[in-house]
Amino acid sequence: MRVLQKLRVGLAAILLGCGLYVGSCGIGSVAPLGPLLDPARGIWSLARSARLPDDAVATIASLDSEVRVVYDRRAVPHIFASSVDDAVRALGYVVARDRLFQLEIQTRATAGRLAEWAGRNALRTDRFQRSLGLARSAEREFAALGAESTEMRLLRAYAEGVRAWTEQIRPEDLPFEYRFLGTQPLRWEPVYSLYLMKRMGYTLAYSTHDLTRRRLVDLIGSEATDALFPVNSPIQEPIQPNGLGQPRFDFEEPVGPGVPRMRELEDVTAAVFGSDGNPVGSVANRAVLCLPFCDAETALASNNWAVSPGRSADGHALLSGDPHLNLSLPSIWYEAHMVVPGELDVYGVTIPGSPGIVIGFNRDVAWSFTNTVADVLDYFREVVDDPVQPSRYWLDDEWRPLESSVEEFYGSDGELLAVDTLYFTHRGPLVREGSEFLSVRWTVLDESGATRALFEAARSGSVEEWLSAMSVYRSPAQNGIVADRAGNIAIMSIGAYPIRAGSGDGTEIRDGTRRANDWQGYWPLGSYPFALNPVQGFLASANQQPLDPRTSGRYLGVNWPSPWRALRINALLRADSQVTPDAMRRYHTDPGNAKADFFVPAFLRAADSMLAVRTDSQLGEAARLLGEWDRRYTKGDQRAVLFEAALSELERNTWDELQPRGGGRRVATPTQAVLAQLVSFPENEWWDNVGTFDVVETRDEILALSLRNALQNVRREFGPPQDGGWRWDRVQQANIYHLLGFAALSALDLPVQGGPGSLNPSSGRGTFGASWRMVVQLGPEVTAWATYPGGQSGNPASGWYDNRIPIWVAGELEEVLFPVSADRLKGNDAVGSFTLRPGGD
Amino acid sequence: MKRRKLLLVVAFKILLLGTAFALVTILVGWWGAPALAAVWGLIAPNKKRAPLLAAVAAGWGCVLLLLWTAVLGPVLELADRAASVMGMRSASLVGMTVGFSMVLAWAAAVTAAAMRPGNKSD
Repeated sequence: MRVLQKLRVGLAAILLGCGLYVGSCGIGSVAPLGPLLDPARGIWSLARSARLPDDAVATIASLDSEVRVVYDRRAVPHIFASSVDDAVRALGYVVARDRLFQLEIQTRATAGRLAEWAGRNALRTDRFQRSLGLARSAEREFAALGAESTEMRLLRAYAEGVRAWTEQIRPEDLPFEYRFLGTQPLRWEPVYSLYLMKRMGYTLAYSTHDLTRRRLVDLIGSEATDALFPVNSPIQEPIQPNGLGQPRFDFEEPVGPGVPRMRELEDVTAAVFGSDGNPVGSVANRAVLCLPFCDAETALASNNWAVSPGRSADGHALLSGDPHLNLSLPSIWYEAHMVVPGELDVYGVTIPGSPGIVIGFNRDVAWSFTNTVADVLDYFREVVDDPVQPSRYWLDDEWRPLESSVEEFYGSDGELLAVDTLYFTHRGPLVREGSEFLSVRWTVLDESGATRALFEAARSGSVEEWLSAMSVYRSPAQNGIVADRAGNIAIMSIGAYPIRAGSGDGTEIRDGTRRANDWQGYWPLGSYPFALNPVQGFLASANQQPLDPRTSGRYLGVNWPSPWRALRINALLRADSQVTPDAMRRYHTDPGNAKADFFVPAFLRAADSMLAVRTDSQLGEAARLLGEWDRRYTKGDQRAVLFEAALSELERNTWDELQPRGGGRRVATPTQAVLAQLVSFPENEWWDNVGTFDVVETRDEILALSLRNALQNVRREFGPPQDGGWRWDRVQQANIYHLLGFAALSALDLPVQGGPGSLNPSSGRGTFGASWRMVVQLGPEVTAWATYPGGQSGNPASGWYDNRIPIWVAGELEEVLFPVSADRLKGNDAVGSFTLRPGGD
Repeated sequence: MKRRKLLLVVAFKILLLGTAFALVTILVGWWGAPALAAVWGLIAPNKKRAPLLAAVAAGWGCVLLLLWTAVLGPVLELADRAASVMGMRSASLVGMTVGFSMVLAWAAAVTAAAMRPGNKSD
């Protein structure tokens, strides 16, 4: 009996010891179970903070006077303050309340400090991020701000708001993700808002085109490279209307492939110099994610358009914003309304971390953006004194010192994982590509100007004032569309566009040993792509080439995304002279597709021509099935899958010359606009399959072969056409992942209308899409409808976490509330509120 | 009649002790449960039953806190999502939460009771 008793005590002591250890330290990657499962303060307490505050009171030490925050029925905070600074403080506070983890993960991603959470798994990403110099440039930009400048005031006020929340945070308010990671929030610094701008710059304006181009030149020669990756899009439907009233097809026969250079093609490997001697930041690896070669056609798919009163049903200007970005939960956007009587009354979306509204409207003006996709990054070939430990670079016949920065990377337990030394020339970061040293000149590493521009834009009272406010904006370059209550509409591609030495072309790697090769300055504002109240009565942008080359010969970029969306939205707007807000909403998910309108007839003609000379039942069936298609990517459509497969096959069969001789991935894929151009030249060399030595294929053979193969592939993957497996919503879905990738906190396999090349271009893994949809009617009173894929709260227990997704999936919008004062939000319209008071330091 | 009275006394003790567990968890956090159980193991009138009573009361305290949270927010939705992230069912997460507290309380009470003076005579 005594033995049993001793055993029991021993067992209990072991259990207690293990329980306390697991409770306080966790096991492996599992966070400590004690704080996690604590029924009072652990994850369960998140349920208590899931509801919006009800007439609560909080304090911010630096507040000048009381601020009232009322949450409307869509959980949008309406901030009523007496000064702009207070309104921005309150914005920081409410954003931190709802999106604290998002604020931090974005900051860490830019700063290259994710390994402090994720350990070695994130080290590669961190090293690459730091090698870009984004955080460093943000720090320099911040240091250069005047203490009393508008930007500094806004950044500080925002940080005070965020800190007020984090410093007063109750255990139940600590976001879910911190509990799983077993960490606490970072102290928010004002400069982190600039990190965010740099991050956006990386997302929207980073490009390895010049490096990829060099590989292409080695592979197919420079003439062929220029033909397949042209400076001017072969299909012209420019943002700045050219007066044609229809697209122009500048189809020229592409030069065939040249002879590959004999030297071994090197992997494009840019490296900083790691403590372990291994190359680290790999530009080539990032190229999978970068612009404009790989993702431009799918990832960058923003649209915006505006209609003059003369073409709207109600006689008021209409504006639509439809920016497409990486989809995430919580969403990249946070909706808010800021009111400072007499100074500011702006509604729209902010990116957590940004001290103001990015896209939105006020009582007079509405605006939105699409990415310009301009070439704002160049590489310069440098000569350094020591390839192992460089300290100087050669410039204008003398050695100049390199700036350096020692970067330390820490793991989740504070252990030192790696030390890198980054080097900088006067142009920017130095990277190593094979045996070469390249410095990077990139507008994103200069002053952004976004904070001040967006702040002034939010206060503008007319299109003219808005354009003037945005004149200080420098990066990332955006096509800003704007409309006002007076009925004006305008579009301008805003940003800093470099003037390059020599030809002005930005496609080649330049000689870095001469300062004369540096950028010579920037385009004057008067040269920017721009249109105001055009005769056609509408304006639109969809990442297409902004300027018709016949209008302006200036080099702005290269390899522009195919203008299928631009063609479609312009066609819709041309066809409707009585546009309503509801029509604007429908356009967001319009299933029509200019790409399909172009290529389907080409496939069918080719099939007919081949079937006329030989019997091929497979091809006949494929042509019959494709011929049945109405070319609309509706959810229930059962033919789009065949078309997409055929197009994919066509690219594979046509661009076989772009595959390295030793095998491996295609170096780059020309845009589908270039492929469309090639279709006009049936005997062109590019149609020939390099794998068939004794046969020279023609266009129709390749088109027919692609269609035939596509049918086989689709049957194999999705079954027979009559079994329902070809439904578009079964083939292609949107996938909105949680920021840490937790499937349970993600919204996956969402059926959406639209496909590659349509205005809602769901494609690939479905992780990119419409991040914010907005329609604004600028009548006597501004009315707006909007939604985004997610919800206001970052708390998964909250009803506001993902409540908007069904609305977004259905292509619907919700009318937004835009009250002039807090007391206008009453009854069911107000679902929560709190007051911020000065003090509490 | 006597048995019923005894049950009532035990239930009352669990109720009281459970409330104490809930309060101490609110005040000091998760480790408050084993700490209180240890104290209970040291001072309980019946040291043989002390561990069982501590475990049941700790579990009850946990349930009380979860019920309180459910009044103030969407616990079921949270349980669904959090459990999915952890690769389990929501009922398992609730069970794990309550069970973790009970196991710690039992183990602490047994260990503490064994340290009571005069333990050798047991």
